[in-house]
Amino acid sequence: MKHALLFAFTFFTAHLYGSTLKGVVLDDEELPLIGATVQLTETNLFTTTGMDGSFIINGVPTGYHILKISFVGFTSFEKTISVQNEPIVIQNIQLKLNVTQLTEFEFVQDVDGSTISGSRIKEKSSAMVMNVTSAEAIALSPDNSVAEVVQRISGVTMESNPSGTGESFAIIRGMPKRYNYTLVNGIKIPSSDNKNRYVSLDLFPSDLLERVEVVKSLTPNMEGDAVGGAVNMVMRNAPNKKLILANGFVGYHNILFNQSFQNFDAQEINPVSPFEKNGPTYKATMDDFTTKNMESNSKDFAPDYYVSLGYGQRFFKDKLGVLISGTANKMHTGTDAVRFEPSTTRDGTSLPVLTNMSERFYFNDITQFGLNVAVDYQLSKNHKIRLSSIFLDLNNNQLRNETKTRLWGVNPGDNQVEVHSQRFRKTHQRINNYTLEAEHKLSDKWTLDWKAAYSKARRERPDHADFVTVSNYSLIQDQKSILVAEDGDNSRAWEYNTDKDITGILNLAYTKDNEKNTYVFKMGGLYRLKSRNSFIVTYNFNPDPGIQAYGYDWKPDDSNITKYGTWEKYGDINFRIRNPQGSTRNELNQDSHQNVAAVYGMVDADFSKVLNVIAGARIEYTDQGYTLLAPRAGQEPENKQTYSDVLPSMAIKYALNNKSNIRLSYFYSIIRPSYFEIVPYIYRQEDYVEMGNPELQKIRTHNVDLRYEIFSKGTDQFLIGAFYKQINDPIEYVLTDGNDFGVNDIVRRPQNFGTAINYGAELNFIKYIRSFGVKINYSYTHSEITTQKSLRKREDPEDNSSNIVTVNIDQSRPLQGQASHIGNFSLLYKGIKNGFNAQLAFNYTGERIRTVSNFYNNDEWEKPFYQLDFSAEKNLNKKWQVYLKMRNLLNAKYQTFIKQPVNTENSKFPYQGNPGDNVITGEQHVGSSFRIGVRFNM
Amino acid sequence: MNKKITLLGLSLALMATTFTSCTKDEEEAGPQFLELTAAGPVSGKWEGNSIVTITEDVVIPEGESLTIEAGAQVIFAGDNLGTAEAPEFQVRGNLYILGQEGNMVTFSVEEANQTEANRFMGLWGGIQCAATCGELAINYAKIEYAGAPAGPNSIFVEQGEDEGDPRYAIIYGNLIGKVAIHNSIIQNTTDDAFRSLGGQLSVVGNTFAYVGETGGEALNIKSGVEGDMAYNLFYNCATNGTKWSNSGERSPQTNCTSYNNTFVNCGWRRNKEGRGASVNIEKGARGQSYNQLIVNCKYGVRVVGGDDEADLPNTSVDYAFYFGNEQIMIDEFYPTHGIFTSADSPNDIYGAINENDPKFVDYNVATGKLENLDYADYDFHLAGGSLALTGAKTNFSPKNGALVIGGVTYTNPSPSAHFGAFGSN
Repeated sequence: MKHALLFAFTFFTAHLYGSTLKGVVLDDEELPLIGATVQLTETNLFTTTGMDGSFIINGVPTGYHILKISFVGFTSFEKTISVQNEPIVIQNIQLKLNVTQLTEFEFVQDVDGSTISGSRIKEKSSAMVMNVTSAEAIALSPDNSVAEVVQRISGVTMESNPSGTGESFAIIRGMPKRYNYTLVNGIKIPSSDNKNRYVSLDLFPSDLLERVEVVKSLTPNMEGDAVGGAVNMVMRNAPNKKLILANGFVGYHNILFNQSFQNFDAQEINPVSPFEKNGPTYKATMDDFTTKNMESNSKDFAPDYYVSLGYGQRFFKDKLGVLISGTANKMHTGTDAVRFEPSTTRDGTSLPVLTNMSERFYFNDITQFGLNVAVDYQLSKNHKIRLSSIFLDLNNNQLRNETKTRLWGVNPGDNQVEVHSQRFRKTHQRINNYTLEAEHKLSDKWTLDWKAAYSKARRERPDHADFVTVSNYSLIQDQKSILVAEDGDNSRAWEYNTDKDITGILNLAYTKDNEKNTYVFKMGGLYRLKSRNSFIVTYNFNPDPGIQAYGYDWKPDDSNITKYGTWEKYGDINFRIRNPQGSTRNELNQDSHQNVAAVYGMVDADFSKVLNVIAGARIEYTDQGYTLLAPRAGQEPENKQTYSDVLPSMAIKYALNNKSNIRLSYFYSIIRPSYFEIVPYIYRQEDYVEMGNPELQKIRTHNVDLRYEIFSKGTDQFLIGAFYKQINDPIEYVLTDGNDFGVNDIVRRPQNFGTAINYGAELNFIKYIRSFGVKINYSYTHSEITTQKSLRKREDPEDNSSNIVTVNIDQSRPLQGQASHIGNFSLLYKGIKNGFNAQLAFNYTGERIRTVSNFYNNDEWEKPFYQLDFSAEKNLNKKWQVYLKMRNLLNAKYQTFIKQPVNTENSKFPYQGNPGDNVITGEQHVGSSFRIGVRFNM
Repeated sequence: MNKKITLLGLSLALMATTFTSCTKDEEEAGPQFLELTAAGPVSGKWEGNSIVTITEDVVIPEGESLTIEAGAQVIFAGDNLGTAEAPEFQVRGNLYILGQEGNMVTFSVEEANQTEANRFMGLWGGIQCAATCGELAINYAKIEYAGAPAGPNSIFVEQGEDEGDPRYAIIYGNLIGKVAIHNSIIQNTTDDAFRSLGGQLSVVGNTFAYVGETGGEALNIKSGVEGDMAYNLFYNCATNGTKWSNSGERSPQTNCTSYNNTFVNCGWRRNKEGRGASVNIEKGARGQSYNQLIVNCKYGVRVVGGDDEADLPNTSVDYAFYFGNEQIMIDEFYPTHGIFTSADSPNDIYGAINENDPKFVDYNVATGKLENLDYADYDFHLAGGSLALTGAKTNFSPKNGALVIGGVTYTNPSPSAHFGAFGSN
């Protein structure tokens, strides 16, 4: 498809000191082209086109000049012009596209998806319902991490993490993290979680990305286990011409201005436990454990800093392209949190009652590295091969200080600080991925592409340790003594898990053209072998002698107490190891696997470029199972589930005109149980037993999507759409009578429950006028699921002497994490002439369920959250830029509550309201942050 | 030839299987001991003159029974004492330990290991009853030095407790089962002496001493239990003597009557505050506490309120006799972390420091929290003139009149007019 060049000239009155040259540049579809370079080649006059494609060059000397307009992906435009004393206006300079046909997930040099306008083109021409955010938009925004970026996309919220570690999972269209998957360059990546398959987005620095796509409908050539959608992070490719990128910033998290940062020496940590070093029969002694990593230090100055570099170049007549980009990041964050753990009354009213208050402060000392290397080689006109490798490394040394107060009574003086604990947790995650892919144009009609990938994810938590002390008010009269906690509360564990994937993908396409219509028949397959293993060993310590108190000169009142110790740091304490051989919690020591084989066939039919229909089906065969490494008597050591599913899908795109489309899509998908849910684990908690469910079934869903979209000028957009999802056999955790499963107890286990419904609507609006832009999106989601809850009541409510029993009762609620209303509003300013950009972004997330309770009417909700962020950039010259980004200007806090009235006694506790107000179960405050940086872009 | 059977030869022959009684030479005077070892599945009967050495787990299989006759000694030994591999006595069927007055059955360790240093070390794994254990009877037995950490294959872990935690001396949990512990001594345990997760219960006339290293109750009753705990001596326990709760919410709701027990010097070995030191009722359980004699304990009878609230309309506590020799004890006769006050128990007897001396026949109540004295050296009967000899409540009945276990009737005695477990000599 060739596009013609168009020219139009008009004339204005001249500027006094030289003339003015103005114009508008359009792309091949007559839409404004933003950011095109406009220059008068033998002068040093140049500019770039604005948000509506317009440009102005002032002070043009009279005479003949060569006007050159260029933009990546388009053939450059050159024209000799004659400038007199009057201004020249050149309208509608249309550039010619230098690409071949666009298909989804291709890496062929085509429209640069890293630009804002490129991302709109991707959305418009995509076969799936999709939203795209480009690297350019990310650079202009207040966001730095992928999680922050994705949050601004319509229909997406992030699951908030109370400890502020940055761990973030996307909730797409109200569907919790189980229902979505994460891709890098179109391929699934393994998870470093020990039980589940979700991947946290905080592992991915946004500087390594070309763009982020959120795909909300599936086509047969995509993996079939998503319901909300998929987040695809497309890494930077070797560029079309030489590219040098550098970025660096320093910043601070404001919560640390008033609080010095506490950390611990993670270098002291033993990477392996005594169990692994010496074998299962070895009895560890205190000499096998280090102590320096259990002593906290503090520092007053705890900034964030970051640097990233990228270099890309093409060689050998542009046949070989290389890109290397890397990032390094150091961050100090803090979260101030309080938590009340609720219990419920036993009289049938199921009202929440509070007895403990935990005040916590989390210090996260985060170090992150990322490296992306991509090499592509054009073997010949018809064959291209590409190799990419990605390394991501995230280490968080987290120190959590906690003070737990037992709320005994109504008067604040009755409350006793009971426990102080420090938790030292180093979490080190790594993901490696190597992908080799190639595309072959076998003939005019046949194309073949394939990918082979090896990925590995690993998470380690060496010496995850708790140092717990209790307050005692009776050993010394009128004084609080701090004693090392008994009962094995002091514990140290070593935990590792690994997930490895080997994936092979093959796609074949046959194109049949007749005059007006094009039919592309595609088929292909995927095979993935996934193996995981996990291991944990725990040691518990008791103080020996039992009384060890803080303060070298501590002495108990009772002179009969002769056996005691004193300490002022962890290293002083004498412990006895309760389980010197270590406890290896059975079920978490396991290997599991999930092998998937898939084939698909689909037809992509285009009728006169007006109607595009994709229809087909994918068949996936699953083999998911586990092997317990130390099974107990009576426990099934190995088990697996195998099944196949046919997953049909269809997408219709009807172009009302060359600026707008209507889309209708349908897909049927499955969600598999998580790796750990089908393992027959049994753990006793205080009030119930937790059990796995090997009989757990996959979830099956039907999804329909209707969308109307208008792309009026290059970057403008109006989208309105609606979706409906029917989720069959959703997996939820419930309390139920264990006697059905051979356990004499109330058990909590994952089960499939009935049917859930989720429907909603999304609105997206982007408009630019010269230098100003506004972006609004809003989604409304409604979901409903009915599950079993527990209710404690008297057997006979009329008879106070009848027994207290626990019964099951059905309750409907929305899906966890689904907010009814989500909105984003951003104001943008992009000053082309003065090179100054700014963005003010506002995000609203309505109330949603944070934690589903086992008990009737006791779900914990999160209050609506408002966040305001700001960013500003100034171009110093064509290559250098300085910027400022500020987040959470409103200093918003998260708050969780139960929609039940707080009783009069509990209402007197800290953080609670008046009697009758909702019961507050927690608050987390992460605070605002800022960063100041410099960017270089050649 | 002598018809005497060589002891050692017999022990070799009886390894790892059920064993039957052996003949004795009837002319022999004095006791003769049969030294045996046992491992793996056991059932049938262990006779009164057996000394059974156990170095690895034994198990009474489901559906089978083991009776241990008066005088038998069960000794836990071997290299694994005190570790996760320490042997435990697993009961999947029924166990009847039938000692007699003056001729007890002992579950202990070799004499060389019976030291004060080992008091809380937890050398062996306790009597671990699985959910299929229908009947457990322990009469005139001495069970001591149990509490080794649990390994992955322990019934302790099967019952849902954590690997690595110290095993209780006795754990039981069968909602339709029956347990009677009478006239026994359970002492020197690392954690709980007896924990129940269900079944009918009768615990009468025992001594629980030195229970819990830094925590642990003598009788820790969870949901699904109905029964009685009476006439026991609780001496120097880390936390409570009798505690019952409906935690786990099994059916039936836990309903216990604790009466005529003597509590001395309990609650001092627990670092966390407020957890109790004599009687504790919590988390939706119901029941009664009467006629308790509570001397020098950290806390008095505690009924829990708040979210862990006991079933208040169906809980009554009264007729407690308190003595304390320090102000902190006096202040906590009515625990500040409990919901009941003296108004709820109008018939309690309590006073100031050293007031209301119960006048034990041989125990000096003024001497405080001594750590190393052996209760067996004392006599907790009440001397003449003791205020505790009369005034207790007699017009109530135990929860269960009696339990019939293994054909033997274990009666819950009627309440007495005196406070505590022992009246006059």
